[in-house]
Amino acid sequence: MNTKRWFYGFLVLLGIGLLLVGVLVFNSSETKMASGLSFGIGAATSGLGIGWLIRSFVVTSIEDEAIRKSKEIEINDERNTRIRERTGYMVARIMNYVLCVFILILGFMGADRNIILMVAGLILLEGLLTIYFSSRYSKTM
Amino acid sequence: MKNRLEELRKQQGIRQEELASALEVSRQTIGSIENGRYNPSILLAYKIARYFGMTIEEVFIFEETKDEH
Repeated sequence: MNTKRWFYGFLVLLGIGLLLVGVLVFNSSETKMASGLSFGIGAATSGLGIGWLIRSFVVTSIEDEAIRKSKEIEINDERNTRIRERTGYMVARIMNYVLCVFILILGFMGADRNIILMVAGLILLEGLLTIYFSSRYSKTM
Repeated sequence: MKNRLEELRKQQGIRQEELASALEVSRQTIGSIENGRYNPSILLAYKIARYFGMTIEEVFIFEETKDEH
């Protein structure tokens, strides 16, 4: 637990360091992008570090183990797995129709041919992935 | 597929959480099986039957006329 706390503390310091670099070092108009990037990563890192650090003090190691086991059960639960599989299947099916309609709309709008081809490429990729994974799973099941 | 899970669980005075924990599934899964909304895999059905010291046929009742998914 202590090693973890040191790591979270390090993350907080790293995040604060990046925030300061973003504000104090990259302060010219030429380095605006680097400043934004540094600021963003710094904010995210320090935020995560602070969150995990607080959590490590609030949640004891016994509770931590119980939470971990409960999470593991939730992830491996066969009903949840089936729900995830069905959700993925339905989303892929719907997205296929959405992409087809999108191509039609792009065509009617007179969009650039390359853009239409790129979107059509996505449908093709989806088809190829479906063939690949169907073949792979049919061999293993 | 119908089942006697709720009846057996209540007979033994076990809560859904306890059964779920023993079978390493979520409480919602137990609830869904009891309500008949979800049919468990053969592995889970076997685990449930073994937990109550019964055979699968004694816990789960197969109905041939009903459309199964």
